[in-house]
Amino acid sequence: MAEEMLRIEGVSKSFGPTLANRDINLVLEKGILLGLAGENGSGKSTLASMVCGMQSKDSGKFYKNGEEYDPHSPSDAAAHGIAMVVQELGVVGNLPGIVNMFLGKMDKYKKGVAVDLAAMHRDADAVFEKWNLPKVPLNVPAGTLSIEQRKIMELARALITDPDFLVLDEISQALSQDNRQVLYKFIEQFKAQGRTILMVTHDLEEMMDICDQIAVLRDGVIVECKEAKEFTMDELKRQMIGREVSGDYYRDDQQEQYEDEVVLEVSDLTVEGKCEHISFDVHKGEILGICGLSDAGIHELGSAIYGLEHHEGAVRVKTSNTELKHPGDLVKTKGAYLSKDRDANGLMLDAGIGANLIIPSLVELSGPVGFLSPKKTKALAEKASQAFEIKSSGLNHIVRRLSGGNKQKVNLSRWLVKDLDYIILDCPTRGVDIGVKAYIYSVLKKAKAEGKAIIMISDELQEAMGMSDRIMVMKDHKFAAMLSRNCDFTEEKMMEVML
Amino acid sequence: MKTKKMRFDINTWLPIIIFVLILVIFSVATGGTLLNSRNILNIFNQSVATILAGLGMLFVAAMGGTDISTGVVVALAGCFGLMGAQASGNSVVFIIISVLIGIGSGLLLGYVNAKRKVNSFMASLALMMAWRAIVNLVLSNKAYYLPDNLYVLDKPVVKGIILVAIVLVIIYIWKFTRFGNYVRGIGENEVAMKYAGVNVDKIKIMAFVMSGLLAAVAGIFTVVRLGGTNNTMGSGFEMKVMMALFIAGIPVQGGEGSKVYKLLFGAPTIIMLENGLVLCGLNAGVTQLVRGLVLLGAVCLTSQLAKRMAYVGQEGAHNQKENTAEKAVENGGK
Repeated sequence: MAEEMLRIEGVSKSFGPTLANRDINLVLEKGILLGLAGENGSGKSTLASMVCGMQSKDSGKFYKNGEEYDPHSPSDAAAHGIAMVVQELGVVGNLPGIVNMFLGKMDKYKKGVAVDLAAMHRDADAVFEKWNLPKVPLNVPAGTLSIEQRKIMELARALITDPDFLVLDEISQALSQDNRQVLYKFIEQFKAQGRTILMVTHDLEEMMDICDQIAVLRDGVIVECKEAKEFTMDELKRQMIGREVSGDYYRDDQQEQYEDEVVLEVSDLTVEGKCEHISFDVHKGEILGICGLSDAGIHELGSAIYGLEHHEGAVRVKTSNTELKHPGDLVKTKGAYLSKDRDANGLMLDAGIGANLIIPSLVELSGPVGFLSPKKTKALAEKASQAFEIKSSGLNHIVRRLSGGNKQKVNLSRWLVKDLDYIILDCPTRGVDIGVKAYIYSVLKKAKAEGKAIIMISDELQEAMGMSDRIMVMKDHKFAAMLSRNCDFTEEKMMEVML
Repeated sequence: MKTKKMRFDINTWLPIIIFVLILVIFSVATGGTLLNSRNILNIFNQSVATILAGLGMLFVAAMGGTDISTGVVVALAGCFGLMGAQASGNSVVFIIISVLIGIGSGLLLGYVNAKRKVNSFMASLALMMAWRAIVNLVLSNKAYYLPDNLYVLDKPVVKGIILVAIVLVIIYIWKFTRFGNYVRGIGENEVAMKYAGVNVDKIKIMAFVMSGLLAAVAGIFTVVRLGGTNNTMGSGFEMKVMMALFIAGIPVQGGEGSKVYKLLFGAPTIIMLENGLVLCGLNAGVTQLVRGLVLLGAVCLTSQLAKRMAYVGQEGAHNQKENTAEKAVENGGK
């Protein structure tokens, strides 16, 4: 079994003065899943993208099946049986799924001046069938698919060239529990055929569970590589960060604890085709988790609460006794909303940190004649940036140039710097490393202690169970169960009501 | 580890550099005629309307939109304004009607763009054709002349004071109010604004109203300059205004890079360019060609610079990581 698939020998890569990868040596055997662990910016994605021909290496060599392999482009890599699913969603939204799947591979399907769509559909279906992937509608524009469907489509796209070496960069973070199971089954099937997977993930629990071997990168260097079984969670974290991490970052109490005062009262909320007749209360000082399988409607519920989606039913803010009808009511009633897709729906990527930080506070900062004092806005931005330890060269630092974790800090702090009564969070720790994750949890604990009502929509059961007082589970757009921290928080119980 | 680097930001200085460049080139090429007092006054007179309309269009451009109805609004406002003034015998009616037409046209365009989700270029193109047809119908065989007491508005001092006042008000709205921030925010990321609870539709409509209103004000000064109306008034004016914006490095996609001062340099630059070419004795065809090429060059330069900045930024991001790494090591040492 220990036959070699890919050998990486002394590979280095630098960007300007910074070494992203330094003298990487790694051997990937046939039929294994190797997990690449490391904090944001440790060089995982750089290494993965060099293997796939998306970036060129500075020095060192790759050997594929014993032969030297020096890819110049992703299609060159594909010709050598290597394919990749990238972290950022790489689909063209307005093109149908089928065209997306064969982008750059259409030569084969030329029929005169046109392309043979039927043949493309046939081949695409074959891939879905072969690897037991759930069918995704391929005739509609890819942009209308859910994030999960797009991810699965991307996986299928990578498999079209029938690769024997697959790189998966943060694929599971976009997937919810049921589709993660699909992914794990696929991985087993792929490995069973003697093929190899290199996987990058932030979800350490997942990594420990499914990987055969784990390599830890820190500051561009591989500091450890061994069988996953030989790692303990604490050791893995220590290796990644390079210092001791203090135990658990979730809540350490096991009690449902909050005040009696209701802050947000949702009654009979219905968004056509997304969620039906949802009712619940959120109390002062409570973290209410909301979980569900993909397409259960949990994400739509979050934005519907404050009127972003057309809905029936009522959402009442008890503290100011107003009904949330339009998105603008969110700010008026001291609320905050953090969307799941940070880059697309949250931040102004090409603007400075300061400009981003002040946007949600402009209503409060406006004086007479709508005057916004530059002194006040700057003070607010500085306060937010310092309180959240955003690492940057200053308030003019362009957000796009920040790491994922720091981006999320900007996204969160622009809301949390305000005086809030309630907060709606949709996957607050998506795509951030454990350092920032732990930090966000500590911020949430603090907000809870201050008596804010928090709704946390989450795709990660561990996170929801670790932080919530109660968890509302949704299934097929409907209410399924309300679980209490006191006794119900086990994975079995959660899965039981979710499925 | 925190060192504050003062980087020379070329984007900030670009409008000024281009302004000076054109100034120097044509001062030399015209043997100084460009800068004699009569010609400077000429350039100023022509710049006023361009700056005024540009201030309005800035709001739309910052959202990443386009309003090409500016030129025809100038004609429409001037034409109906004078009609009203002549009918009522009151010259103030001219200004009132003009302003109302500007606001009305902006409202309509904003509504079609924000609520009916029609791309602003298409919507304003349709509006441009429709309004121009109305102007042609109304003015087909008539001419309207400016009431004598309104010629006072053409005095450089009066014009200058009004211009400065309007510029100051716009700077205030642009920099120091929510509206200005939201407009730029929509250019950066419209969806994010919506998610942050901003009433995006309302802001969009307001932006188009600003554009229409200031186009009408530009129309008032254009009529005052001409002394009356004719049916080709304002045609092609929107292109001149757009050139004034984009030659000065205001990003075509809108956003935070849209700044008032850029327009204040861009407008005289473009007028100087045209004026200089004429003074050099080049015919209209060649003038057009040069104008086109200069704009192309400026827009290419702006986007090239933006790209380069992004590259520098990438390096910055990696330095960032290095800092983080160093910090982690420091912490590890403790």
